[in-house]
Amino acid sequence: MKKFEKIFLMGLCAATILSGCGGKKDGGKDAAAVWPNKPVEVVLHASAGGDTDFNARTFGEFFEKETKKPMVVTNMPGASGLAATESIKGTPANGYKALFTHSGPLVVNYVSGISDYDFKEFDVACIPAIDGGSVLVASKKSGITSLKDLIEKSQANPESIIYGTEFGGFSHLQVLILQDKTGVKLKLADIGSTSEKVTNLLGGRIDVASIAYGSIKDYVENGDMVALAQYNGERNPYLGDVPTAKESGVDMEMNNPYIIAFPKGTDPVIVAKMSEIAEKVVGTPEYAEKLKVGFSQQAKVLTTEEAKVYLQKIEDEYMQYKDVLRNTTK
Amino acid sequence: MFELFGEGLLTALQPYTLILMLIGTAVGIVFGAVPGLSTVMGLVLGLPFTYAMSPAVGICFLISLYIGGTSGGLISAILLGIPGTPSSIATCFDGLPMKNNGRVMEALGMGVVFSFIGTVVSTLALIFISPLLAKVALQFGPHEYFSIAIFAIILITSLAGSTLPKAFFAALMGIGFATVGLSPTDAVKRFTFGSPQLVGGFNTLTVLIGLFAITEILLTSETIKFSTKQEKIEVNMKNVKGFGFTIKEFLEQKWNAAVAAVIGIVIGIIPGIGGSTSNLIAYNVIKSRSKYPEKFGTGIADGVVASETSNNASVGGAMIPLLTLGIPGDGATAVLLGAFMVHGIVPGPLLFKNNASLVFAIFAAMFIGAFLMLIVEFFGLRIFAQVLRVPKYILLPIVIVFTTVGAFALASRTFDVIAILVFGILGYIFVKFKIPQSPFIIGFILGRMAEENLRRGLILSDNNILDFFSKPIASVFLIATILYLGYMLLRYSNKFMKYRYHKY
Repeated sequence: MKKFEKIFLMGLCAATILSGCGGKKDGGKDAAAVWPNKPVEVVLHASAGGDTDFNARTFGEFFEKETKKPMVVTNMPGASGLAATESIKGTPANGYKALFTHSGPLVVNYVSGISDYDFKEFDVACIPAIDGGSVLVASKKSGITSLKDLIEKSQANPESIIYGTEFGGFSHLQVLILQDKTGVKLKLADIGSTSEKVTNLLGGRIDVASIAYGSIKDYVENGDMVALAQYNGERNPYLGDVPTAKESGVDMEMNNPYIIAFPKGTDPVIVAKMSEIAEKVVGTPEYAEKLKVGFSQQAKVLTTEEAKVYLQKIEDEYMQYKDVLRNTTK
Repeated sequence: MFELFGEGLLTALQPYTLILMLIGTAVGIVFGAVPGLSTVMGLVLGLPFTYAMSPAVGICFLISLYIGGTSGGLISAILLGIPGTPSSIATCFDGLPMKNNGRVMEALGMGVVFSFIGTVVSTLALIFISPLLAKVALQFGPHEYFSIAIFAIILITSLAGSTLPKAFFAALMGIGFATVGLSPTDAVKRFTFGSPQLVGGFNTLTVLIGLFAITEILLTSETIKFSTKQEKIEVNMKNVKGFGFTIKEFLEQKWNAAVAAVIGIVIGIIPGIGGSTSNLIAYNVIKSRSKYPEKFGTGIADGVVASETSNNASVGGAMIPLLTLGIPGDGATAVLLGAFMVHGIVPGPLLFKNNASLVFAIFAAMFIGAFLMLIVEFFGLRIFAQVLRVPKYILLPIVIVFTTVGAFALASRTFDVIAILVFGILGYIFVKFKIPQSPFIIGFILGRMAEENLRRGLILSDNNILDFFSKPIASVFLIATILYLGYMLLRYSNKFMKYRYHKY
């Protein structure tokens, strides 16, 4: 064994010495000019199989077509999105690792107090997609037939209609804004995410909820649920015949933008390049088709400055509800 | 109906699909067998590959991975005493002693065959009575989840086989560790000590790896220097025909298998809990029903049968709400749901109507997957047993590497690697103080579910706790829990009294 141990020790030393080599130095201007010249990693706050993961991978597929370099997806779910944001916050700003997330971790978390920072903690590159598929649905048992009907019944009997949501999350904000714009009070219950909302709607334990259209399409078709409204400003053609909130007289528009963000201090040239690539990708018909088939999404994009303005706008709007959002369970 | 099934079978039996399913099964078994890698991980890695395949083929591939992965855990559970996945925790309890008693082939054989049976039975349930069973899933709201979580924790704690105070201590510690992170409903930071990593809480897999794998390694390292001759466990291959057990022994297990299968199916159907919970519950239920409960843990086939039948039955069980309601029954089916959605198919009540051929292809894939698993593991059995020939001082370091990589791979954080060390040391301390591990693990897995649903139930019931007893399913489990707890405490205090009396 002595011989073996010697060889092992030598190998270990060699490996340790060699590990010191090979670190890439950011070559400044040259690095930005050739970006991307190796795979770009995107970190997601969500696990595989959901809408964020789908958007990231689809975007990545077309990113590779444009740049000939792959986009590698790393799922880092946990802590309502903090696991992913913390990871990118601490990572070197060399343009090869970015955050691919949505306004939940970067805006709503800040408003609800889960996070001490918002999107401004990062260098936002672009909004490569917007989820406009959230729909307000009612269970058949509730007897609610339209948004107007919901408002009327709520006014007659405040807090009688149960809205299932995840406290502190996007759908919670949705209902707070809805209540504010319509003046009605619903009974808010923390029920969980999509699966729990669907189960409890069908089981009659909650009356209404906001759920991605794709997940409840079949139920609307067979009558177990009624789609009351969509939150988009204009009708998303892939959502079937669901009226917008505005059409029903409620001045409300809310959707969930996906965000690509680099760590703070990334070379602006790289940030701009990502934004340009996103514009090209979103313009591709095959990409649009995939989004439609996968999650009934329309292909939309906002470039760097547009994205920042948009995110600030929605943050300011949501901040009005900060106290209610944080205090609901007290 | 039969023509459609025939069509589905044909789709699934295309050579291309079959080869993919064989690969999927093999990959699944590997992911299941290696401690540190899990079924969900395998599915997540396989998911992107399916984007390029047609929906039927892609989903068949993932299903075979799922089935292989769920059953693969038994291999390391029996051979190493380390569960390969959370679904095989209970398999260790009797599987390892069986190996130590020289009955390793019987243990492996029983595990494989009853995994197969569990899958087949639950697939039959999926095919013939899923609409009925789906209704079961709908009956479970927050009140019911709380009740069943508490019931499961109490059941497993009281049957832990150690003294009751120690078992309860372990369970409470498990629940305690589950509170680290953000509280449910109001997201208050608990036990995070300012660390952003702790805000996310601990992952079940890191607890599992730490508590079983690292602990085992620490325990072995105590004695390994003194065993100069590696304990060569006589693997008696000569008289082993087929799967390593007789038809008589097989038939003796029929009621255990039946009960375990039902438990597995029901738990699989309830969204949010699956194989990782059902194996522990089935083991303990069968132990409590057994004529010889004291033999559990010494190495009897009943234990392996209970665990492996139920965890594979949960596979079919979890597919039921997925296909009929579009709601995933457990973590693995959540990945399957993603696979569906990417192809633009949303499972739900109309899946049958709109996509009948796909549904039947899935049914066929489940049977085929079960057979493939049986075949691969049958040929593999003798090879797996050879692992025992590898001396522990080579085998366990390899296990360390895999578990470390697996822990890191969960979320690309070194935090998880540190976590497995922490839980390893904790597990080691537990073993030294003879504190049982299964209450800890079930307390950890179900603790959060219990708390979250208690709070959600209270919100729905306007803070009226008695409302829990107005819901039929919830009150059944709660009353069962109270009665069972009462009975256990009575028995314990009787024993305690007798002991004290006899002392004087």
